[in-house]
Amino acid sequence: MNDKFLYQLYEEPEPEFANNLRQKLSQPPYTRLAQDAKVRLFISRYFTTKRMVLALVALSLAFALMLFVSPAVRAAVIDIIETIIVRGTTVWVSDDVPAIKGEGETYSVIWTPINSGDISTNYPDFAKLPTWVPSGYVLQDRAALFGSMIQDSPDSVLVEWRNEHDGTIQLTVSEGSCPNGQVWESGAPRLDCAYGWYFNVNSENQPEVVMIHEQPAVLLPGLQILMDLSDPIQQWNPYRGRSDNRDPEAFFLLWESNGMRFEIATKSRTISKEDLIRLAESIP
Amino acid sequence: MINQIDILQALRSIRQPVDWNAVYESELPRIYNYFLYKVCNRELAEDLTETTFERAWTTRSKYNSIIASPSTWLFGIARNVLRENFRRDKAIENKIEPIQDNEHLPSALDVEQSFQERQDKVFLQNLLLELPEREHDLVALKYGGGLSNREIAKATGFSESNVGSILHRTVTNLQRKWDERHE
Repeated sequence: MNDKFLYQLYEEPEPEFANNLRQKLSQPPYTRLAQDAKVRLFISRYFTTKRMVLALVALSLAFALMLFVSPAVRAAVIDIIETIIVRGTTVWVSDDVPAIKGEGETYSVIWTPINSGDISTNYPDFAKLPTWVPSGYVLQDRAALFGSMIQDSPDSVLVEWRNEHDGTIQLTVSEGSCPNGQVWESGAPRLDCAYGWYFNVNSENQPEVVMIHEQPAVLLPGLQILMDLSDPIQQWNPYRGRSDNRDPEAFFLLWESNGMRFEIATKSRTISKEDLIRLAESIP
Repeated sequence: MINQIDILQALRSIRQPVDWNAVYESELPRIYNYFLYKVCNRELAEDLTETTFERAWTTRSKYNSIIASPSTWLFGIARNVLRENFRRDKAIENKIEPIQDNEHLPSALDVEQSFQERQDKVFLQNLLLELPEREHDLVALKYGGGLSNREIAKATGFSESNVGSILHRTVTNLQRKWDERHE
């Protein structure tokens, strides 16, 4: 294969453009974060011991995080006491999952703001709203359409309810299914699966399989996975996703029905497991 | 999926601060050319490059070396910027026009060769713009961004072998059209 001709379009950026941009990036606000970091480093030089301890903690956390996010590594080094597989969702339960709390954004996901009231008109496939929500919760106008820009994963619609005490319910409806079990088999992806969810949870937050409209669903108590839908939603937001695997006020429920995938994430002092199941069952 | 070598490399990289000046120097031409191959318009490529670096520099304190190299991270942002701009302003597609090589006017002796080169570039740009989105993206990452198949796989989520076979198929088709023109 001779691909030399494809390099014909390659060219160096104009020096003027490169210099102007370099200059722009070296001025506030782009330098503020770096300057702040330098000040912190200067101060921390006086606390060598503290730095070493912090570095050790950071390394431990990083390693713990990797164990948390990498099922293969985790399965290799930690005793899994139970594995739950429901369609494309796999949950590993063990006694020693570290507490992980943080925020982040997958930069391959594109978010588009939509109006909750317009979903049935513009996105009829996603118009799967519950007919019952716990008292005091109000459907928010702002909703979102999102999907990966780099993979052929189907789009999803996310809607949100809130109450006056900052209680939050988020429902995500996605196209696609995984009809015949876990998405990975013998190290190879199944072609009939549109998604794969993997969770490592601690046994103190015991997950369970519940039935929603006679379909098995995975209920994960204590797991908070919420998205920030505030403006400007189209732009990359490093604080978009908030997660906490030790949140006593949170639930996460996943199931699949008629080729669609449903996820309900809640954070509330008052929503119970029974409320969550009732809400899920009220989705037509 | 993360393997043990990745983990060891990540643990090592945690201790090393990122030299953002070096990142700028090495990645600017790659990001710019990625956009150039995608939109075939210098002005637009510069705008998109600027947006990419501004966004990256604003949020670089959130950069996580465990998840991606600075290059992969920047290309992720670049692709996001491109996609957002195409979504936000469909008119941007109408702005795409072949690059005009106005900077240096050829001498009389070079006129024929220069004209041919320009025609070749326009032909190549048109070939790229006619590609399906996925194939166009991979070609831009490979030949504009200078990424290896492995880096493209990390940036796009495709498997490395998938990237290789898509690129091979695409480049073979492009080569055939290129050769037909030059026969």
